[in-house]
Parts: sequence; C-alpha cells; structure tokens
Amino acid sequence: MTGRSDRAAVPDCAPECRGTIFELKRFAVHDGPGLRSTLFLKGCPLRCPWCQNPEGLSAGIRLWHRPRSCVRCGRCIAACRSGALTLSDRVHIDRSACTRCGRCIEACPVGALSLDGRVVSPGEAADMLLEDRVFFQDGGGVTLSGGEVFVQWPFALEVLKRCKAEGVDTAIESSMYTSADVLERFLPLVDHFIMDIKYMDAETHRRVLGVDNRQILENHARLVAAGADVLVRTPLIPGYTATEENVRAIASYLASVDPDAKVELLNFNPMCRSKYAALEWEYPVDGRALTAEEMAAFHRILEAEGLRNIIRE
Amino acid sequence: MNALYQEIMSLPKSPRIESLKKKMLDEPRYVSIEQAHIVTEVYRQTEGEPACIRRAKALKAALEQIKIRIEPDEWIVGNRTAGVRAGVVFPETGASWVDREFETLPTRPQDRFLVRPEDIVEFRERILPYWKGVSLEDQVRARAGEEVNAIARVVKINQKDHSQGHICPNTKKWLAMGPAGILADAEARLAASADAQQRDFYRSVILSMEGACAFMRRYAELAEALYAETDKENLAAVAAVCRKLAEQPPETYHEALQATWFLYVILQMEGNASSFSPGRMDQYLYPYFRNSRAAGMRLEEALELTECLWLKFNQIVYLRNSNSAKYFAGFPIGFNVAVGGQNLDGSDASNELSYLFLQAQSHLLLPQPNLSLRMYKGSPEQLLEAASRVIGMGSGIPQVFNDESIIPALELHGISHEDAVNYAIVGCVELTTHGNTLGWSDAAMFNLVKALELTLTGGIDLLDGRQMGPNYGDLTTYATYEELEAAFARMIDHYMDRMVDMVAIMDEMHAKILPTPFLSAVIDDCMALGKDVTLGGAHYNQAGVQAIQVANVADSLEAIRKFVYEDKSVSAAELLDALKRDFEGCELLRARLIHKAPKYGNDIPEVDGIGAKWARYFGEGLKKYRNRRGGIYQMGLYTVSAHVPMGQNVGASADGRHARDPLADGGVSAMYGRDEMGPTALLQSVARLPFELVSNGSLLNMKFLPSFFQTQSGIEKFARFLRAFCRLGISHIQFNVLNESDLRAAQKDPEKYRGLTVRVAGYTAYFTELAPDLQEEIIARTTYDAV
Repeated sequence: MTGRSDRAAVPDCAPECRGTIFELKRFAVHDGPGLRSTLFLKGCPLRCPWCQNPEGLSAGIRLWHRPRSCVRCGRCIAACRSGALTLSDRVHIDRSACTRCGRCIEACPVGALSLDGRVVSPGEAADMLLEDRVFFQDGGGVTLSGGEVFVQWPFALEVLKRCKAEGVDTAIESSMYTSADVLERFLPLVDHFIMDIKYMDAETHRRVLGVDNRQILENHARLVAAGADVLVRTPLIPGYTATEENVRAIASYLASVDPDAKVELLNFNPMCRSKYAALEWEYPVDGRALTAEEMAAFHRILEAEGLRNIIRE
Repeated sequence: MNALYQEIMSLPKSPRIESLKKKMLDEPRYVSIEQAHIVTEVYRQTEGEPACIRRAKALKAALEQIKIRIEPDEWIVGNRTAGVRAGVVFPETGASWVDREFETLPTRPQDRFLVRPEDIVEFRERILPYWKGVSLEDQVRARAGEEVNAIARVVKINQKDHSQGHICPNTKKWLAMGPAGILADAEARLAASADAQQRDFYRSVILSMEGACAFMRRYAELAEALYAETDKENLAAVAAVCRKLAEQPPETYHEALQATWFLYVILQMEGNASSFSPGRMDQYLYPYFRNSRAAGMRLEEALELTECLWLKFNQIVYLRNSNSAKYFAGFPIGFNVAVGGQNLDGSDASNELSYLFLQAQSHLLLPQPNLSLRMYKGSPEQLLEAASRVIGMGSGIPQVFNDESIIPALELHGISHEDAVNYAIVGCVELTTHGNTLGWSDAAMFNLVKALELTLTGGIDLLDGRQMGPNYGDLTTYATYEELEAAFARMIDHYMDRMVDMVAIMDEMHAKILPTPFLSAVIDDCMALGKDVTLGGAHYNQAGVQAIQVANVADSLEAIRKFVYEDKSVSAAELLDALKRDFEGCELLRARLIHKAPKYGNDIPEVDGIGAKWARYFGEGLKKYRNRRGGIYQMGLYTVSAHVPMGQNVGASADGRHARDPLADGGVSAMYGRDEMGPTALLQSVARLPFELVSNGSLLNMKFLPSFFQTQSGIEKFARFLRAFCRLGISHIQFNVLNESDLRAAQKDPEKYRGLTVRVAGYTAYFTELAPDLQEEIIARTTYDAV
C-alpha cells in the first residue's frame, strides 16, 4: 500500500564515494514542479551573509544544541568524555574539544543535541529521496540542494543517476558556481535547473559573497544554449540584493538572453534566525519580509525590462 | 476547466441568501418542548396500542399541529419547529436527563441552548411524569444500567437515550413516488396481507404518510396567506410547489429540492436522530436539474435554490445530554452530502450539480451540509482543483473519501458491487449504501488505550486504584513482550464479549420502544417484508464499533517493547510505577518515552505496524459476532471529538501522555506534535493500517495554513497531494485550514467570529461554540506550512 517498488541495485561508480548531507525535506513544494523530496548537501564556496541554511556552509559535521528543547538536566555533561560541554544558561560546546562521538546525543532525554550532518552512500541517499515516490507522480520528483550541490559533485551525480534510473524527475538548486566540465556531466541527468543570480555587478558579487559571478553567468548561458529547463531566482534581501538597481540589472541581463526566461523573486525569510541562535552566531540581516506592495514593485521592474515568464508563488 | 464548470465556480453571491443567512445566525437557539407536548398527549390517548401505531399517530399529530413559519424571502421552506436551530426535547428517548440538566442548558460548557422558564415548569408538570420509567433512557437504565456503567471506561455504549441515526434513506424513491404514492403502495400491501404484525406496520406507514401530506399542505396554505400579504413572487412559487408535493412527485429542480428537504425534516421529527444523510444528491437530483435547465432555468437560479436548501441544513440541530455533547461537540446533525465519485461502469459521475454544491459551500462556509468529495483514480483534475479551492477557504469542507479503498472494503463486508459503488457517507465519516441499510454505525466506542492500561496493571484502574477488569498479570509479570501482547489480546476479547451483549440490548430496546414507520417506508426492504427497520427490515443490517486509538496504542507498545524488553534500559517496575504516579518525579523518564522511542505517523514501518496489528486484531475479532438484526459487526477508526472525554478515562500511558490528557485526535491521526516528518510521512504511516477492515469509516485530520492555497500553484500541488492520498489507499482525509492567530482572536472576541467554522474531527462546528479545552486542542495540533 505504500506505493514503493523494489529497485534494482545500481552499483556505485566508486565504492568509496560518500556524501555529507544535512537534511531531507519531504513534501517540498517550492523546490521545483509538483511535490518533491529535497536532499540538502553540505559545503558551500559562497558566503552569502543572509544564508538560510548556515548548517550547510561547512562541509564538516558539527554538534548542534537546541536551547529551546533543552531541559538542562546535565546528562550530556556527564556523558561527555572530552570535556567539550559546559552548562550555564544553556549548553555550550567547545568545538575544538568535541570529537563528535555521539555519547551526549544518546544521553539527552529530549533530543536537544544532534549532529548537523551525516555521511551516506549514494544508494542510501537515493533510497531516502525515493521514499515518497508515490507523491511524485503527476509531475513531482527529487531535488538536490545545499549548501552547494557541486561541492560534492561526484556524489551528487551518482545520486541523480540512481533517481533517473528509477524514472524519477530530477532537479538541482545551485549557485552554478562550478566548472563547465562538471556542469556538462549533469546536463543529461537533471530535468530542472534552479539557480540564483544574486548580484549582477561583478565587484559587489565578489565583495559580498566572496566569489566572482563570471562562472555563474557563463554557466547560465551554457544551460540556455543547451536548451535546459532553467529557473533563475533572485533572493530579495533587505540591505543587500533588494535594490531597484540590482533587480533591474538582473532583469535586463535575463531579458537580453531570453525574454521568456523563467524568473522568480524570493521574498526574504527571517525565520532562519533561530538556526543562528542555535549556532551561537550573529545574524547580520536586520530586516523583515517585504510587503506585498514592495514585492509588486520589484515584479513591475521585471515586467518593464521585458520579462514575460515571472513565477509568483 | 470546462467552460460551464468555470461559469458555475464564478457565480456571485446572492443578496437574498446573505440576508437569510444573517437572520438565521442572529436568531437565538431555544429549547423546544412543543413536540414533546403533542407526543405525550397522543401517548396518553393510545395506551395499549402497538408501539408502531402509537409512534405513527404521534408523528402525524406533530405534523398536523406543530407551529410553522416561513421567512418572506425563502425559496425552500420547512422546519421541525417555528424557531431555527431549536433543541428539541424528545421524551420518548430521554426525559430524565432533561429533567436533571434543564437549568444548566444555557450555561453548560458545550452546545448551549436558551431556556424559557415556563417551559421548565410545563415540562416537569405535564410531560416528565408520563415518561418516568417508560422512556428509552429509563428502560435501558433499569435493564442494563449497572453493566453499562461497569464497562464504561473501556466501552462507551451509545444510543442509550436517543435514537440511532446515521441513515441514508432512499431519497430517489421518495422523489419518484412522493408521500401520496407511498401511501397508496402501503394501502395495497395492507389489503394483500393477512399477517397481524405486517398489517400494523403498513397501517403505521399509512398514518405517517397522511401526516406528511398534511404537513406539506399546511406550508402551501401559509405561503398563500403570506403571498397575499406581501406579493413576493417566491411565496407564490413556494405555495404551488408545496401544494403539488402533497399530491404528486416533483418534476422541477425547485420541487425536487423542496421534496428532499421535507423528507429530512419529517425524518428528524420522527427520529430526532444524529444524522439522516442525503448522500449523493448530485446524482439523484440531476434529472430534475436537467428538466429545469431545458425549461430555461439559469445557473444563478439553480445556485440560489441550492443555497436556500443549504441554509435549511443548518436550521436543525441536535440536543444531546451534556456528556454526549462532549463526545459529539458542536451539535452535529450530519446532513452529509456526497459529490463526485464514479458510476457503475467506472466512468466519472461528477456533473454541474457537483460544482454547484461546491460553489454553494464556498459562498456560505457553514457547517452543514457536511459536504464530502468522493474521489477515485479517474476523478477529473478540474473537480479536484475546485474542491481544493473550497477546502482552502477554511471551513474544513469538503472532506475527501477514497473510492479506491472504500468500495473494496464494503464488498469484503457483504455489500453487493452495485451498492458499494453507490456508497454514501452518513453522519461524519461513516459509510453506508443508499436507501437499504440500517448500519447502527455508532453502536459503541472501544477504548483500546484503556484496555492496554488494564493489561499493564492487572486490571486495576490507574485513575482510582480500583480493581476494574480481570487480572491476567501485569507489566512486571510478563517475561516477554509476546506475553504482554497475549494478555492485551485477552483483555480486548473480554470487553468485546461484554460490549456485544450490551449492544444487543440496545438494539432490542429500540425495536420495542422506537419503531420508525416513516423511515421504514424509505428503507428497502421494509415495505416488501412488512417489517420495521428497527426489527431488521433493512436489506443490510450492520453494527459499527470504533476502535480507539491507533496512535496511542502503537506509541505505548513500541516504547514498552524498546525500553523494557529490547534495550532493558527501563525496568518494568520502574515504568509501571511511573504510570501509577502519572510521571510525578519521573519527568526525565517521560521525556525519554516521548523523544527516544519511534512514534506512529513518521513513516517508520515497525511502529506503524504495531498500530496496524491491533486494528486488525480488533476488526477480525468483531467478525465472531452477529448483531440482533442478523447483520455483522464492523470496525470504524474515528472518534469525532471523543478523544477528549475518552482520554479523561485513561491514566498515564507509556507513550508519555499524562493521565486524563486527550488521546490522539480524529481516528487514524498521529498523536498531536509527535508526527515530525511532515504530511507525506504521515500519509505513508496511515496507509499501513488495514483499511480493508475499516468498513464503518475512518478519520484522518490534517491542518494546513491558508497560505498554501493562495496561488494556483498551491492549489495544483494540493490536488496532487490528494491524488497520492488516493493511490495510498487511505479511506478518508479532512483538512483544517487556519492559523493560530485566527483562533486566538476568535477566543477573545467570539461575537466577531460567529461564522468561523472548524473541523472537530469529521464534521464542522462553529469554533466559538466549542468548549475552551476543545479550542485549545485544535490550536495545539501540528501545523504544516510550506516553509
């Protein structure tokens, strides 16, 4: 009754190939067409100050503590053998001492401690993604996201191969910060490319995000030339990308490539603040979600530049 | 979308309907003893006559004498009292509880009614004395009260002081023959029968139909009088329609709607039961709709007529005693209307009326009718999208039923293929055929969580420490998990035996005290057999028992299995002690039970399998028995609002639930807050339950925030979610679409939110009319949003 089928085993291309992931989101409705499962891969070369998934920035695995769940019973302190944990108003983690052995996680009665990632084989990753395949009919499928998918490209490629072999629709959400050579390998395996263009100005891109946008724009052109299904998204971050000038520049570029290019403006989502609190990091964006009127004004800019295929969710 | 359907879904609201709706909602609800007066007089004058004749004479007198009223702007008329939404006292079934609770009705926590002081005096002086020791309630108490109470915390026996409803009459036959046609048929059968019991039955049908014709003529006369005063054209039409229906069957859409409503008013006057359901109205009304369309009826006119009937469905409510009102909160009356589904040849059955009914709901957003979408693999996309849009408006309507699992389940339980394909829904979520079933869907509710408690304690009630049930051992004496399971099975068997004995008594008492000739005339095969429906005259005769609650049983057993028997990290004595103390001083153990054991609803096959195993055990166990009318017992998995009072009967449980806290809601839902993997995982878990055994109906609640439905893309994705629900073979799903601030605001300022409806599992109620703990319950349920 679960709608699952037995899948023929597909051998790993490299037996040692493993990936580090940080979340599987089931019932994903904003990561491509239809209903999807989205797997988030760790590690990202960009350093967007507003990053929604700070746990995806580092490729390594860290111990996380959620103060809201914690009952301050102290069992984790007693269980830790490396003296990495101290209890005050909350549990503090000395990351240089933590060996990620997992004893504190086991000891915690309320599940307030966890690792922010785990290592899986491509087969395991595909199994997780395909658990909900009964929901994928009628145009849904699986999506790889991050972090940045291309940081672990051999693993990602292998996961996508397995999903494709099952006849499942595939998508990736990526910055497209990767080499032409790598991108080439993904073209036959990905049905939908969802990519960000955050800044049009090269200098701003470098200064704010830490990397150049030349490769990103070139890859966008390659995808368009290859006839791939591409959706370009621009996150509207108050104090950063959400300026008339930036949005107009992006729109103008896209319209010059193809006026029918699919484009979507993503409203700022302040809910990720709680993740920063758990990491004991400062969240640098001091802003709120844009109002419907502000969003409409940005949408008008896209229209004025001649874009005809604006996705409004 | 097909242009015609698009046009229907774009029809505007009508000012007439808006004003009728406002007037209805503004009118206060009163207790009414008018019919009780009439019935008591008839009973005084008919001592010694057969019960069915007395009942028929009482109904006829009520139809001839009860005060009637017509709103000047109505197209559809009729009610069982002159006031709307009155709480009708029905002394035949229960007078003693009314006596005990009369003064508290305006102030009780759930389902309040205003009371006229002079009615209390009259009731006590002239009505109550006659029914002492005579009413169903008093006779049941004398015959079985002790045993009913002894098992009450495990098994709640229903229908002790009110009639059994949950019936879908043969409306098609009623429309084809009318009361005059049925009367003629009964006369012919009377003339041909020599059997005394049969002859009494046919006489009782004749009396009932005479009353029905008189009732219609009275409305015709009142409408004529009002027309003479006001010159309103609708009143002239109403007069002509009512006049015709007293003599002949309907031909137009207006006539068919009015005839349908008269049927349900009269059924309620005779039975005062929880739920007589119209069933698949978009099917049997379609020929009349086509007739009128061919004669020039515009879609706007059809919609306004439909909405007039929709308002009527909200004008009859049900007065229950205060305890029963907790179990079935929001005075649900269960006018359940099904739309869509399939034809016998497997083709799609939806038509213009399916869309008109959805549009009527989107305009009115009222709790009745309880609209149910029947869906199957061939359901058209446009129907799913139209329904999704209406669901997204937040009234919780329509709920969705799955032909793919329900039809096979019905056939497995003795229903013919033809009848199964034509199934309807009665009450909240109970399943039935059309026009030939007495399903007795709510015979009893079986609290499996309490049975598990008694298994762990050696039969001792954790709430008061008394020896309540048999002692088959306790948690400290079961050497293995398998021994615990064996004892649990014995405990279920023990209470199932005792339950079946009690249900048989209820069935017998209803047959003796409450024959229902009017209803029997519209349930096949009663007329052919000359036998009342309470005596087994229906073609199908089930009794339904609800097994409660899968999630708590699965979560509790899994925690015990893991901690006590597998990991051995908690001793049996420690856990049993913690349950006895309601976790006082054992907070960390409780936290581990909650967080460190897998929970039902997260797509974990092992723990879901435990829920499935015990649902199966219960469903198979019922097959050992036959009910008094000769039919089977069948299982349901739903609680309506009963998970709150049933939780009050259970001590602390090994899933970490505190003593007296509510059980999981709905029926097959996860324990609130314990399903952390999202809606797809929940559906995958629920799909592991044996729906082929759940032929009495099941209930899955899900809550979505309104933002999900605000875009076309969201609507399409929701429709895909429904498709997956269908493929997974789950029988039922319904949605609360709301946000917390809506509900907080409604708590603070109920007057401003009088029209706000929410699902209380299986039906929709006015949120502001729910007791505070039920309001909190609704707010606490997991919310899914697409973030």
